[in-house]
Amino acid sequence: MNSHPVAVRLFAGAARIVLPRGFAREFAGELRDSFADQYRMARRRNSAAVAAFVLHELAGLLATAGREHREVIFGPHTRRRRVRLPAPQRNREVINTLRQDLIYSIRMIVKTPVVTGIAVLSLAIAVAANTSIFSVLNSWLLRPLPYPDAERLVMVWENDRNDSDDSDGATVANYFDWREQSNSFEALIAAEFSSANLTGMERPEQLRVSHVTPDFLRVLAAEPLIGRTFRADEGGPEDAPVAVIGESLWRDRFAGDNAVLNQTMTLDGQAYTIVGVMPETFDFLVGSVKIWVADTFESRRTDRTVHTLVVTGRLRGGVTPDQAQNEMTSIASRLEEQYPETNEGWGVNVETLKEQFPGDTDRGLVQILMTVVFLVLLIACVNIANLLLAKTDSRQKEIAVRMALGAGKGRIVRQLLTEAVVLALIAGSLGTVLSIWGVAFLAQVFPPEVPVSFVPTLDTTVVAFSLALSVFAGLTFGIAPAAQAVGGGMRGPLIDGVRGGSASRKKRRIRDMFVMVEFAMALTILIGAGVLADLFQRSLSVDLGFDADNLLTMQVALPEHKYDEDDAIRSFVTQLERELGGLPGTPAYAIMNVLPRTRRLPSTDFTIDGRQVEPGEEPSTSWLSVNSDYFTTMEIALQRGRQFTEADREGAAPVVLVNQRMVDLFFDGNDPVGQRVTIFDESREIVGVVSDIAQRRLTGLQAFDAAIYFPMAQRPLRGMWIALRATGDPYSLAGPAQTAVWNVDPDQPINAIQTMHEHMTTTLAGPNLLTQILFVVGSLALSLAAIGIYGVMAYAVSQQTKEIGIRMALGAKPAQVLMKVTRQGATLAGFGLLLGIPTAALAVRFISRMFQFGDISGTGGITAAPMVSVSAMLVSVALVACVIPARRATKIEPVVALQQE
Amino acid sequence: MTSSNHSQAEDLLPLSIPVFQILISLSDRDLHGYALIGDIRQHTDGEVNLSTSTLYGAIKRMMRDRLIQKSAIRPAPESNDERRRYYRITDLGRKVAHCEARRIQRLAELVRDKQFVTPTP
Repeated sequence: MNSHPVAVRLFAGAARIVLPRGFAREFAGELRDSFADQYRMARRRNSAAVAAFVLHELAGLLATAGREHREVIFGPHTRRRRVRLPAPQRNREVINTLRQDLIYSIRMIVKTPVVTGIAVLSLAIAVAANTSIFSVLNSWLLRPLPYPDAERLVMVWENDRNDSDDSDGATVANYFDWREQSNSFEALIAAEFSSANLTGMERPEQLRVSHVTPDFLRVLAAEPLIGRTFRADEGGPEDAPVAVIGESLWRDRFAGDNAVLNQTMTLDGQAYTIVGVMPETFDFLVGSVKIWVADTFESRRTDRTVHTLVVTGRLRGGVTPDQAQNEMTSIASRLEEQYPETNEGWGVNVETLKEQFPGDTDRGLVQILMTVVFLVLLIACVNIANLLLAKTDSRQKEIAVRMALGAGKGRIVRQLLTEAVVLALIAGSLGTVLSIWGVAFLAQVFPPEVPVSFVPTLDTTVVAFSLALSVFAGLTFGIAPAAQAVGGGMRGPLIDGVRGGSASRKKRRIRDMFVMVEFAMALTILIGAGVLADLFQRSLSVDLGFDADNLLTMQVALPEHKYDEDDAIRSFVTQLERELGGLPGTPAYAIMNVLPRTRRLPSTDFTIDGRQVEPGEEPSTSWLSVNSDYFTTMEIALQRGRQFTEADREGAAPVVLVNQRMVDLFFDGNDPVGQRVTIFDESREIVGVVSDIAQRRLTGLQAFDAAIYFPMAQRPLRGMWIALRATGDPYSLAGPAQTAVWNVDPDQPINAIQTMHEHMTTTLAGPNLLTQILFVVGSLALSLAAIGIYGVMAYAVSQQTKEIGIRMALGAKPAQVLMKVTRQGATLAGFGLLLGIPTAALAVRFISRMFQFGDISGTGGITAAPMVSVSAMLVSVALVACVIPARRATKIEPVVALQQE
Repeated sequence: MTSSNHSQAEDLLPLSIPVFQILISLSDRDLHGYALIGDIRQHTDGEVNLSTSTLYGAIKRMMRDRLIQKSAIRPAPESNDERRRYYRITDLGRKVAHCEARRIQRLAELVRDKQFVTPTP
């Protein structure tokens, strides 16, 4: 065999490389012998003949190899059939090619189940996260509103130019004038949202009620489930009161019985005839309205001071919102001239329905989440790209041969991209299924006030997004391996075997870059989550200023129709105090207008008597109205002066208490006792100072608020909270406390019975949820990044196994080898940090701006601690990911390593 | 020759140039690869010059389609190289070659009738 000339041996070697294994095994010998025979013949003639012969043979070899590889990959596919194919059927040919690509892709995927499984799963989770968050965006911004011709519906708000840009409700009188004077609208409907007490049934209940003009439901084209909506002749002051109820109320209280129609129910002491039931899917602007009451608002026709009507207009065909705005502006300025006392400064805002929701904070929140989950998707993409890069490596030879033999670059790229997209679509389908839970979870987090149409669901748009995202992901992580496969050309792999010199260094660089980017993205997400969690934790761990243990709280909202006089409220409170004082075990109790850790804290302007303030420059403060036992029961420390007593009643000298923050901010820390403040147009004496308590839900994160306390007898309010301190289980007081309330007024509903700790958990649910979501997503990002780093390091080490073997054989210590490999990983992590820290700093700035943490004082603001700890954690993960493959490399016997190719 | 055999033969048409030439060369005797290349070059006056790889690619497919098979016959020892493998045409191979010849004949007649070329005297 060695007697063959060099040319023959070269040819035989080339044939062995480029021809598929099966073919080579069968014919290699014959090929070589036939070639040798002809070569000898050519040599006998002349060198030109030899050259012509060799070229001829090489061309034949390449063509045959191409054909044979195609057969191996796609099965027998003879040229004849393709030649026969009439030109018009070219499209079918394209589809055939695609089908082949698909089958081949699936074969490749099935061949590596574990690797593919991890890739698919991580991508599926990323797709699910994206889909879930997108479902929120979809329900807010994309999904059409569930009212026919919704684009012609506009909100008509009043706006106090002197106050702010915010929209206010309309007054009844203005609403009537608008209706008479405007031409832009087919109809102008109005609603007023309130709550009312449903009584006369087994238990009194407070429900959300909407008073609406009789044409309201008709103009919104709302169809009742049973019964009817309102007629034009209903809702007047003299008409019999009628109501339409919601489906859930109907099912809960009327057993879903059709006999509900024409029954009466008592609402705030007034009997209403039920004429219809609205389906659960109907709501307008405010969610969870249970009862609609027909009301022409005729009885308040001349009222131009109370801005509570929510007015909606249906534009006439061809009228734009801008035109309506112009008309309404001119009507508003006419009304200003006509009624300067009440209308001075009041303009009109015409807004589309879509502008009503969501608020800026919600939008910002979803933006953050969308960005974060998209980063996670990118991390998953990078991981899979790395995976495919490694896989392409082992297929490099096959690809190079196919290209050398005329398989177009397009064909190869298409094949690789098809593979990636198939992988992504499998993951995407799985992700869509996973997102069913994600969307359900998010929907359940939404507060009940949110209209149904803004609650996320998994509709076709969302599913389409999910699949489109998967294709995008597939193309994203498919492009690098594809580009690499065709970019490298055929020379490298054919000459170097599988491992190329410069080409493989280039590949390595791409992977290193991927890892760095991955590292930076994970760092950004985790630092964001860390900073938020840190701030949140600090707001939780702040000294509350009162004792929250063993407190049971409940809300009592007295109805206006029954308690329209301050004396009636005072009498209720007095009787309630007597009842509560007589409870078994005589627990301490407090009555207040707002609980600590509240979402909304009432505030107002005040002045300190004897100090001159420019009008409009008055300082503002939060205020509370509390009973005399409040500070004792809540265990709020008295700093100076005295607490309230029974003597601080109506008609006695008007007094207030202030908190320490008030003293610090407005009295320069000096004793304010004996000074007077004017608040709500009345001068009051400061009789004491109490310590600060966490009155806002994020106090601790935000600074303490200045507060002024009124004795409840001097500032009676219908809405009140009761807190009772139990010695053991707070709920043991729930029954007795309710009985106490009902002993005073048997028709009075009681809401939100819960412990103080439960209350605080509820109000903190939003920020807590964001932190939790960020942490889940952040951990996901971290684990994906760790997988990525590990994959790259493991691959790098496997490529260096031979080199490591040589080093070890020459006497290198395992520790040295370990150091070398770890240093590579540490370098990557270092660059990742350099890239990630500025990005993370930007993210933190964005978060703090969104939550208005800018005004944190005394809370330390955003600290470096979470950034440092997160960075340290990521770096150690990266190092572990390096050390594992490095250790494995040092364990290999040098002889084995040297044999490895 | 069965009708299924016939339709099988028709399915393979038209034959590629190497396949048809190999069938013609093998029609009267068994040959090995190198001899086939030479034979084909000779009887086509050098017009068809198969490369070794092309030849064996075609042989592989022809064996799969059962147009040829490995020959059991060893020609005279003095001309036989033990490494060489001889190929023999099968019945199906003959049939296919026949069909292809007919097809080309019809084609030639068509071309002549339409006077694309002047008949050689």
